[in-house]
Amino acid sequence: MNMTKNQLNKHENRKDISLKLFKIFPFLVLLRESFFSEVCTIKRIIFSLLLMILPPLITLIVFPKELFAINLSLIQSPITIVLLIYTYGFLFPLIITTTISPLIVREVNSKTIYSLISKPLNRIEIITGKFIAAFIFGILINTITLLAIIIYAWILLPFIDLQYFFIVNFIHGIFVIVIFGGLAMGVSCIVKKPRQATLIPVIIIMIFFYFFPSITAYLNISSMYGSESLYKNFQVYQFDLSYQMANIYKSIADFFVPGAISAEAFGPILYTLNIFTFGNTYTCYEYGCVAGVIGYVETSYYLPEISLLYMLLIGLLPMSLGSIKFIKRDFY
Amino acid sequence: MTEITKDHQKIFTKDLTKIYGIGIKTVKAVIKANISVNSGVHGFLGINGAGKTTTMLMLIGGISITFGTAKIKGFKVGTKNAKRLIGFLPQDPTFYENKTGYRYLLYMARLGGKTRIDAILKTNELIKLMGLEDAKNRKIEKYSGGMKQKIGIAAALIHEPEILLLDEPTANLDPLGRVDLIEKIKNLSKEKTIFVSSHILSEIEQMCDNVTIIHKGKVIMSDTIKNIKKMHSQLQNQFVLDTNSNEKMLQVLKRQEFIRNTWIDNENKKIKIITRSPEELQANILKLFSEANVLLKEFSQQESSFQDTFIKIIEGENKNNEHDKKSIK
Repeated sequence: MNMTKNQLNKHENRKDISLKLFKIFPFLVLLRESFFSEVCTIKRIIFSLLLMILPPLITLIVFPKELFAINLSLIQSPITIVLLIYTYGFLFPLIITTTISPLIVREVNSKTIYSLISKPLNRIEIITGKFIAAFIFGILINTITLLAIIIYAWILLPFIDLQYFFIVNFIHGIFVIVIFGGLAMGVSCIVKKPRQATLIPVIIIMIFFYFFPSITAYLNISSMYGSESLYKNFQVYQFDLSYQMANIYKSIADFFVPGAISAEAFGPILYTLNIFTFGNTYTCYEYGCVAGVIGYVETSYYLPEISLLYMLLIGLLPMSLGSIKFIKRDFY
Repeated sequence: MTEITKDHQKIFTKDLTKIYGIGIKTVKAVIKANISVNSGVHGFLGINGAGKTTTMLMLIGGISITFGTAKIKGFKVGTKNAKRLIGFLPQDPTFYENKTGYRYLLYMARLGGKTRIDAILKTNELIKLMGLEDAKNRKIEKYSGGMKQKIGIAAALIHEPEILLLDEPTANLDPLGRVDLIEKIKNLSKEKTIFVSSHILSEIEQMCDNVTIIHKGKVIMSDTIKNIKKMHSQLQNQFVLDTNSNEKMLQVLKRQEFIRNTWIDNENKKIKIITRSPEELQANILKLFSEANVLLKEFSQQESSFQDTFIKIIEGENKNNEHDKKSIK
């Protein structure tokens, strides 16, 4: 703080380019401040990393080594199931939404928004700055989680392929951040109380990613006995967000490692997410009825591209509506 | 002197209107307000709920304008160019309480478009100016009301705006703090144009030359305080007289036709006169002294205070409104 003007000038010359950028775009200042002061707090980092890293790491520790080594690729190991169901299917969306949801509503509620709107900033820059800050945080948490898993897996099983595991999960993580971040940001711009802003996205995640898969599993039971599943008959998949997310994940994984999420390896588990359903039936000749099923088959209710568009719409539509509302809002 | 065009006026509004709500539940907060501010300290007066804060918020772009235009030095309000020119202190300023005063000001300076070096220098300068050196590294949540107000003003000044919009800046301050702040505002007015809203008339009278009075959303007057007092003084026929024998003089005065009422004031024991004709009183006063055989100590016209004038204006406006309502019925 007690720097002389000459020292400060030297300091300024060194950072000339970034300084000019900050002067031209005050929203970069807002982004940086939001990132360090609001989003990336030590408490949040520790809590988020514990939630993200523990389930896959426990899986790696608890399950026998051989299970991960069957296909010589980590993406085709049980760790993918844990990531898909727990980490990206539930915990990561929760972390993202609880991080983003208070960002705008808290400013409005505490009236600190006047500090921002009276400065040369557009309202859209306020939203963008805060969203990008949370986006970077999400990328950071996801990358650290994946690196932690990869490092531990490399120590444990140095011969298996880790590269595609990182790429697939990194890309899927970006989609999770955009979709759930967009939803949370939209809600944050619309509602009036910070608690509402946090609760609404959390309830949506709880319903669609926790209760919904539990119910849909029952709706598929009839297909075990050769009948059409209720899930398919009533087109429940149209509203099943967990199916859409799993469909996106599967297509990314298949793009880099064809057949990575195979029915043989993942069918029994991913049946709960309706990516696979029961396969061919076999008949008990003695009684002349269906006695059971052989294997699992892919459902393919939606093209992965359509699933991606569907989910992006779920995230970006509330964000667009919220942004419009925020831009037109009177702060009095 | 050339006339200042609307694009060169620091603050210019034409028919500025804000209507909240739709349908039957509409509230007209500001109605066709025409405000023009050029330099110095310009007061914005009105009772609570008159529309002062709504107007201020429209000027910073915090509230949308229903009708009319508002410009800051020719730039439409709410645009980046307009915002660069203004510094705003809200009525009840709120801060990021977990930040220190120093960090908060630094952040505000950077948001205002200052480079890091300039931000540091300006922050140090303003912390010194506001007398917050000892508290600069303390979290704002631990600041007193007065200190928060000072940080708020520093935040408004930090990006060196040409125009300051201060919404009731003395509201949360103790008497000493008020005096100090008024002095600071006066000093700042040498370099900046200050548009300050308040309902504390004595403070406005101390700080401002020009005032705009708003009542029930309408601008009812805009002029210098001197002119407003002159135009609306109802006490210009009231005089104060002091002699060596006030009782005797009182009896003489009571007999005059041009005297409406006269009495000895209990507080200062001087004679108060309300005359029908000030000119006639002034022409005859010497004759009356010799008639009563008394010596003159003081003879002056009683000045009305700005507060009296303001109350009269507001009461007059209320009566007009009632009259208008009745005539509509």
